[in-house]
Formats: sequence, structure tokens, C-alpha cells
Amino acid sequence: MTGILVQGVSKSFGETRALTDASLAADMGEVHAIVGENGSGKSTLAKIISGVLAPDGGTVDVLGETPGNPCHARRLGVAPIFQEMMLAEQLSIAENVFAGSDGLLCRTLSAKARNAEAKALLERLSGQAVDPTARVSDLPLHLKQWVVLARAICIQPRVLILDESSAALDLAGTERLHAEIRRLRDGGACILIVTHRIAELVRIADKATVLRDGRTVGTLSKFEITEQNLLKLMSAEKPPAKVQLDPSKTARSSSALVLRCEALQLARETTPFGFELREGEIVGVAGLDGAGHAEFIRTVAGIDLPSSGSVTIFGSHGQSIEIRSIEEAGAAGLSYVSGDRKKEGIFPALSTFENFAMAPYGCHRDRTGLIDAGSLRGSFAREVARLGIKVGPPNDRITSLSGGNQQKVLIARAFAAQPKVIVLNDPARGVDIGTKQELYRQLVAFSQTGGAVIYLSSEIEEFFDFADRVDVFVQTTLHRSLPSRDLSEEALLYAMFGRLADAVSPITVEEMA
Amino acid sequence: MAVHETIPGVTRPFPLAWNLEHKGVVFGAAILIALCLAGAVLVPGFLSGSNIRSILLLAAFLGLAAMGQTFVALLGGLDLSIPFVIGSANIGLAALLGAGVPALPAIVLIVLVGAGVGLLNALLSFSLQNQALIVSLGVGFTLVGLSQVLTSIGNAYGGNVMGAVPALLAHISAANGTTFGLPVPPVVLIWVCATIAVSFLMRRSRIGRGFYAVGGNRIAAARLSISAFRYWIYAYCLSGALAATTGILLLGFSGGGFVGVGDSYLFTTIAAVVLGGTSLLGGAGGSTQTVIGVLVLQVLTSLLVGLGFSFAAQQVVFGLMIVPMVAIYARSPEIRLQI
Repeated sequence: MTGILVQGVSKSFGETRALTDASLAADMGEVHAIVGENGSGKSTLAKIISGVLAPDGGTVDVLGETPGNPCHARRLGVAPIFQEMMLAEQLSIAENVFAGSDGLLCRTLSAKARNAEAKALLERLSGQAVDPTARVSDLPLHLKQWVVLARAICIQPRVLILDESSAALDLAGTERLHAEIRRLRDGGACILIVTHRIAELVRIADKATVLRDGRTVGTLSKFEITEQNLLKLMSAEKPPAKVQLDPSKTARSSSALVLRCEALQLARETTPFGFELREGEIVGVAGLDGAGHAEFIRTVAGIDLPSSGSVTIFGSHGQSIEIRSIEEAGAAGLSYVSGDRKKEGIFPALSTFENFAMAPYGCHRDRTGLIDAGSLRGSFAREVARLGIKVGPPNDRITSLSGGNQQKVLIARAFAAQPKVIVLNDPARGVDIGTKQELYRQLVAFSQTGGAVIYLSSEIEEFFDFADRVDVFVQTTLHRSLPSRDLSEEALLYAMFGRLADAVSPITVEEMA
Repeated sequence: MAVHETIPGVTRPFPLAWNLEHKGVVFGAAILIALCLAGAVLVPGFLSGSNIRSILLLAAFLGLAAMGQTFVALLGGLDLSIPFVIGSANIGLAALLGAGVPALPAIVLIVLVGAGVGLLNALLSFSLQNQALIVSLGVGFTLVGLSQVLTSIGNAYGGNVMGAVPALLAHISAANGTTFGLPVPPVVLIWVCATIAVSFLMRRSRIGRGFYAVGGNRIAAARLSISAFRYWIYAYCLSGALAATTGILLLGFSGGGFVGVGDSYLFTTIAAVVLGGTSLLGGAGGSTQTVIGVLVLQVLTSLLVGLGFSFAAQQVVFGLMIVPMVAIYARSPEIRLQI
């Protein structure tokens, strides 16, 4: 039985054409993946199917009807989860899970019943004890993600749409999500997944629709879904080659120190540790959810103060500057890029160009001290060309770009401030593989000119062939530092779970789930 | 400004900041022209020199006060103390002059006090988790009460202060005033020059661009070392100083101090900002757009007066006008998708 049938759909935002000719056919009892590079129209297609956006042309058929608005889609049994986490932060977990399930004046469930149900559902999903009355704003990112998922799952959806919904989850969490997806599928629901994690969808998808530049370029059945086939369809050219490491990268200990942390304690009663970053070094930072790697990144960038210890940046003439705020870090030549674009990256009301220009204003001033617009535009043009950003007219709002291209603009902004150190906090969250490869290439080029990079990622595959070493955090302290020659998925996983590689019983992915 | 440059896929020139607000400006200008045409047809003498001059004169007072409100609105705040600062500055200056203080020091003092009130607004509203609305209202109430108490010491007329206004001040704000021989009151010229200077600086200076960063996304601005607190102080101090200036100029216009002179500015400064298209959520708009809002309001007032509307009836029209304007801006697709 056909669940979703989309034919020849097109959609434009101003002058940006998000979809030109998209088609998709998904049956009930099927896990269907939508795959494509950044800006290929995946999220737009998901929004059209869930009734959030109206298509400019073409037909949409969901369970026999055309969803006119999100409420209509909900009545049909469509539960969408979008890239942006939409939660009522001031309400409790249970209230968020059951949001929208009540009538105008009467509650369908007592507070007690919904607390119990929300608790059971969330504990099953997150695998940890949950207080259903806790306020959502106090939760860590991965639990918020589970609340969003629980809200969709609790209405027993016939069509579940997941747009990058595993981005905030760690490996074990992703496994639990997959189990949940399989359970829904076996119950006859249709699940639509939008994801960049190719390894993930190879495992779970029954069928995949590949988009390129707003057009459906192919549909793959279960046995055709391989990384190679997907990459071939997604990019018009051959799959991008892996980043070539500079052979001179092995001997770094001789180059100058640019950043040092001494006796750093990220929280009280945790083990203090030291950290050093040298010119031309790319250091990966990894850990399981809540292991302290995110706190470390924020402390190095001057956003949070450490519980004790110091972060010092060394200037070009050897002078040392202690970092106590992001202003001091910025002045000392540190740029920070966050993967949470919406919250701490973009200025939604401003244009692409103005978003870019906000950081490098200081570097482009004429003799009177005013902003030199001409030189700034030149810098914008250079960075856009270098990073291959698909911008529409630079005067359009940045929100008219896809998530991945917004991220590229933010990375261009960090480069344009001419930093010595770039600190990236999971910048590739929800970004496609082509863009990632491009980003790695840029960071390697930056390091070859003497720049230093600290790179946090929640996907361990990101570090291979790119990082000089990966520092793994466990229990809010630096646990192990793995040099690139020792880097393997296995070694990283061992370290992240707090074990040494030569520990007695090797763990497997199945065991973790 | 508009340098032509070719970027792959981009052939249009792009000036630094104007572009996005384009549509709002065109729309506002269209309303303005329509109102002028309606006035010309319906009200005899609407486009006469003296009527245009009086429209511009009143627009200049409102324009200076609304410019301050624009700074605050750009950050996503509102300054409700403006009418009270205007009234207090008005009687405060009259009282100082009456007490024999020379004009120039008195004026400088009043402007500084206005900026000081703004500083208080900024400090209080920022530390009290941005309750700008009620804080600025409270500060304004306190101020207007205090200034009435102080000026009524030794006489029985709190709220009204009579006295001689310096000739220069009266000339600057006179309806039939001339500037360098031009038949335009000097205060209009002051307003125009201030607007041009502010618009230029908002586009071309780092601090000017910072207003848009802080108003658009405070956390993202903080990550770029742009401190919201500092801008909060800039905006409220400018707003306070501009409100005090308006109060001073209104003294020159009326010739006597009256504490209620600023009352109508509570609604009109906010209305002018909204009509111009500056988002009250912050981050978009600017003082150039507010000029259009100011002109629309003043031309409409003049039209309604010409048609014989009472003050109460004018209020009805103003109130009704705000709703569709906000609706039009809020329904523009970029903002709708954002919300």
C-alpha cells in the first residue's frame, strides 16, 4: 500500500530554488531515506510532505489526501521531526511530550497518567532514568532530542518523518532509535528519514530516494543502498577523494606553542589535566554525551570559565595572554564556530553578506575608521568561491539558504577574521559528506599556513585522515590522547568508553546497544 | 556605495545594509504619497507652504524622539520613559532658566540628565532580565513625578512653568522660522542632518552594525565579542538624550513649560518605528525607515485635522492603522518562516 506519493514537486524561496522536480514513493511498512547534499532540497521535501510548506507545483499524496497544513497532516497521522528542535523550554518533559494532544478546554489524560506515560516512553527511548516533571530547558541536548522523538512517537504515527534526528545522539542512542524505527515499521508505519549519516542509513533504510539540486536523481532498493552508490548519485562527479595528509605533519613537536591549558578543571571534583596546541596542528576532540568534551571546547573559546586552571594563548612575539572571556579570546586571535547555527551562529533577520561581514568588520576599515565596504565585498567573494558556497543573491536573508550552506557561511566568517586558532564545536552537524570533505580540506590548508585547529565532533568517522591527534574525554576530564597513527574506529570507541585498547574483553557495537 | 562586482552566480551590486529593508521603504513611501494625494484632493490648502511647514515641524519633534526609540527597538527593547523624559526636560529647562541659569549650561545639563535616565533604564532593565517595558515605564513615572515636585517648590503651579525662553531656542523651533534664508524651521534641518548622520553611521561603522547583531541574535553576537550589555547602554542613553532634546526644542516651540507636552509621544514614537518597518523583535529596520513612519503619522494627522476629525476620532484611526501594518509586516514570508 502506498503511503506517500510525491510527483514532480517544485518550490522556491525568493530567488532560491529549493526543489525543481522532486518525486518520491514510499509504501507503508517501509523505512525510506531521503539522501542528498546540502541544499539539495531534502528538508524542504520533508516540510512539504508534512504540510508545513505548500509546493509551487506538482502533486503530494499522503495516505490518500493532500496535506494542506500541519494540523491536517497530524490528523492524517503524520508526525514530523525537523532539524531545529522545537520545544517549549519552560514546560516539563511530560507537558512537551503531550503538547497538542488535548482538546481546547479539556484534558484527555490526567497529569498523573501523562507523567507515568512520558516517563515510561522516555526511559525506553533514552535508556536512562528520567523525571517527567523536569523542565526541558535544564536538559542536556541528547535528552531534548529524545523528548522531541517521544512527542512524535506517542501519537502512534502512521507516517513518521525524521529530519536529521539522530544528530544529537551518540552511538548507543542511535541504536535505540533504530530499534524504535524498526518497531514502528513492523507495526505498518511508514518512516521517512533524512540524514547525512550514510553508515546509519545503509543499516536501516529499505529504500532511498536521492536528491541532487532539488531533483530526484534515483531511487535505490535495499540491496542497492551502499555508500558508493549513494555518493555516485549524490554528487554529479565521482566521489570526492579523501583528504591527503601533508607528510611533514609527523614532526610537530618542534613548532611553536599557540595555546596551553594548565591544571584545567572543568567542574569541581574532576581530575585536572593539561592541553597543548602547536602551530599547524589539528586536534580532534571526542567523547560520549556528557563526557565533558563540549565543556572543554567552550572553556577553550572563553565562553565558560573553568572551575580552576587557566587557558593561555601565545602571541606571535611569544607574549602570553590568559583567556577569561570570549572577547579576550577573539582579541588574541581565536575564532569560534558552533554547530548550533540557529542558537549561536546566524543572525536570521540579516542577509547572507551581512552575516558574513559581522566578524571581519574590524579587518576592513578605511583611513577614517569606517567600514571599507569594497574590501569587505572582495573578501566575501573570495571566501564564497573558496568554500564553494551556494549563495543566492547575497542580499537575501541567510535563512533562505540550506542548513549546510548557512554553516559554510559561518565557517567563512571565522576564516575571514584571520584567526590563529579556530575552535569548531561539532560544525558538521547535519552537513553532507561533500561539504565535510571540503571543510577538512580547508582546515588542512589553514593548518599548513601555521594555523591551529581544535575540532569537536560527535561522529568519530570525521577524524580519520584529517586530525593529527584525537583527545578523548571521559568523566569530564581528558582521558586519552590518540596520535593519528594509532587512530582507528575501534581505538576511539575503546577510549570513549573509558577503556584502554589492550583491555581484556573487546566490546562491540551490539553490546553497546 | 553600490560597487559593481562579479561573483560566480551573482551579478547584482550589493550595498552594505539597505537592501533587505527596500520593500518596507517602498511600501511606506507609497502610503505617504497616497496620503498626500488624498489630502490635496480632500482638504483645501493641504499642500500649501505653511501646512507643509507645520507638518515638517511637528515631524521633526516626533522624528528626534522616534530616532531614540528606533535604537532601542533594534535591540528588541522598548523605551516607555520617552514621554516622561520629554515632559520633565520641558519643565526642567523652563525652571532652570527661570532660576537664572544661563541657557547653554542649562541645555547641556538637561541633555546629560536625559542620557543619565537612559543609563538607569539600561542598567535596571538589563540586570532585571530585560524587563525593559515595565522598568522604563517605572523610571519615567518616577522622573516625571520628581520633576514636578522639584519645579513646584516655591510656587503653586506644579507641572506648568512659565518664563522667558531664549530667543535662539524660540527661533529654532518656530513654525515660521527660517534657516539660512530658506523657509524651513531650523529644527527640521537638525532632524534631517541627524537622520542622515545616524543612517550613515549605522551602515558604515562597526558599532552601528553591532546593533543589528545584538538585536538579531544575542548569543551569536556574544560569540563574535559583541557585548549585548554595552549596546543596551548605548541605545537607552541615546534614547534618553534624544527625548530630552525633544523636550528642550518643544519648550522653544510652546514658549512655556508644560509637563504633559510629551504625553502623545508614548504611542507615536512606537507607532512610527513600527510603521517604518523596524521589527519590535529587534535586528531589522533602522532610523531611515522610521523617518517614513514619522512622516506617515504627521501627514495623516494633518489630513484628519483638515477633515475635521476630533482628537478622539484621530486616536481611533491611529489605533486601527497599527493593526493592519503589523499584520502586513509579520506576514511577509521571511519573518513568518522565522517565527
